[in-house]
Amino acid sequence: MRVWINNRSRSRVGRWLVRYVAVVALLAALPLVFASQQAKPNLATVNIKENGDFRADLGYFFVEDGRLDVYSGWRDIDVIWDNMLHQYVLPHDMEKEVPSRGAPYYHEVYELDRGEWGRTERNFTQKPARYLDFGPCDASDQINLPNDFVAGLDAGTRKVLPRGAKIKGVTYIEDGRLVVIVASTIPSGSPSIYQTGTYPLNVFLLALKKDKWQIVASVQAEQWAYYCGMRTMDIVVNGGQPATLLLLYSSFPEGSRIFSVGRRIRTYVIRSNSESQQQQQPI
Amino acid sequence: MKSLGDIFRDALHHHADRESPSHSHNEESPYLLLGQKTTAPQAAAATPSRQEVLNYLGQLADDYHIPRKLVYSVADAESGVNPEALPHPNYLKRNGKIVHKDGTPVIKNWDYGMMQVNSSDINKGDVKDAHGHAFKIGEDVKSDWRANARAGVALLAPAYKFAEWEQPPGSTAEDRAQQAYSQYNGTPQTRDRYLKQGRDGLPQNGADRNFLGKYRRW
Repeated sequence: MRVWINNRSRSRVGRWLVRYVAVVALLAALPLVFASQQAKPNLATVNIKENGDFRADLGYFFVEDGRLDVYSGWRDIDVIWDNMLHQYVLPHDMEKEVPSRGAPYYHEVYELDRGEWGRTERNFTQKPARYLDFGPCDASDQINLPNDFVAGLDAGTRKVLPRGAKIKGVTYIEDGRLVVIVASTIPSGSPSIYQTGTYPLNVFLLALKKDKWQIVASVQAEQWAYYCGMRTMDIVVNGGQPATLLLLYSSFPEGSRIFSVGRRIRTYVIRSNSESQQQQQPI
Repeated sequence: MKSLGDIFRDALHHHADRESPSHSHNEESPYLLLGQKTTAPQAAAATPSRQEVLNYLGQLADDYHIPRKLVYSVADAESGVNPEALPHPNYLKRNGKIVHKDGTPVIKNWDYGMMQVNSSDINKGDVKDAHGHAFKIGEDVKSDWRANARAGVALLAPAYKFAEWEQPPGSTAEDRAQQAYSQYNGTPQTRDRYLKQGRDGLPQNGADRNFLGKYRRW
């Protein structure tokens, strides 16, 4: 059978052919576009996520590898802060589950498993067996690290932070490709009368882009607190990917700085694009 | 004969009694647990959002017919509207100086939670709910932010109502709010504390001064 194709039909076929080829070409090019995007330094792929908030009123902490011991002193304040429930619990309610036998510290143990904290133990104890001295925290927002080599800063780094920010701590991670800065910022209001001298604390992640440091992620860690310290450790998150765990130590007074002192450790998982990590390119 | 309010209250309490201890707090009416003891939490409770806290305080203010602005600013002055606020010690003082025993300051009592409810008010039955029924402030004000808010507003409301009654015509809502706070933060005898002003025209007392600053921002 002969199929007659006139000129008009030919031009229609031609147009469809062109469209078909164009669509196929576009689809074929998609992986290339994605690949080129991933190969390029990508600032959007760095993220910071809070994965823990541990608090001890009149208490202590101890951090070792992937283990965190929290001791809350509850006898004076007659209430216990439970870090799993994330709320206060009355002592007689808590004693239904864990006998206190008059011991003055409520002790919880948390362990890190693939980037997630899980409570593995809790009991009451006479005194903290292992603890970290928070020392004199920055109760008047006085710490502001200088731009010298020791602190690992230069003037350019400071310029990218919000105006009035005071740098409390700095650390380089991922072979120096990322900088973690903990800084206080100017508060928008005033704290309660029981929290005099406190200030907001922020975490900034900086990366080099065209030889200039830029903020690639940030988070407000505390609205009203004192800075007490920071540290980072390498961890492996779910899926086997490497990441960095940031621990931010702070304290928050209520009225007297002698008695009612809360101490807190917030933890953050910092992750960046895995492909760029493998290629060891600057982010 | 029971009033409509009593019937409503009975019905709510009956409903509350039937609920299991794990009853969701999110669905809780401000009345459901009024004066009722809570059990140990069974499930993980997330920190309430600021909006959730403000909604709850606002509802309580409406129920007691007192200004929301007053309730918000008291919560702000006391804890920065923080439902997880630390207990705050009040020291024993003599002649304006803290009394020490063996080198340690002596604590008279404690203030708890977002509204900084004083421990001396716990287990006293002289506060009233929004329907005028007496109830006891329970131990739960130490651990449950909603119970704390209910107790705080129940203590604040009569102070504001008294200021409304006591203050002369022409007084402003700000005057009444200041008097109510001076009483809430102190005692009925200190309700005129806010009238002592410094050269700048603001209250001399630090707590009253702080409250006024917060009040004007809300």
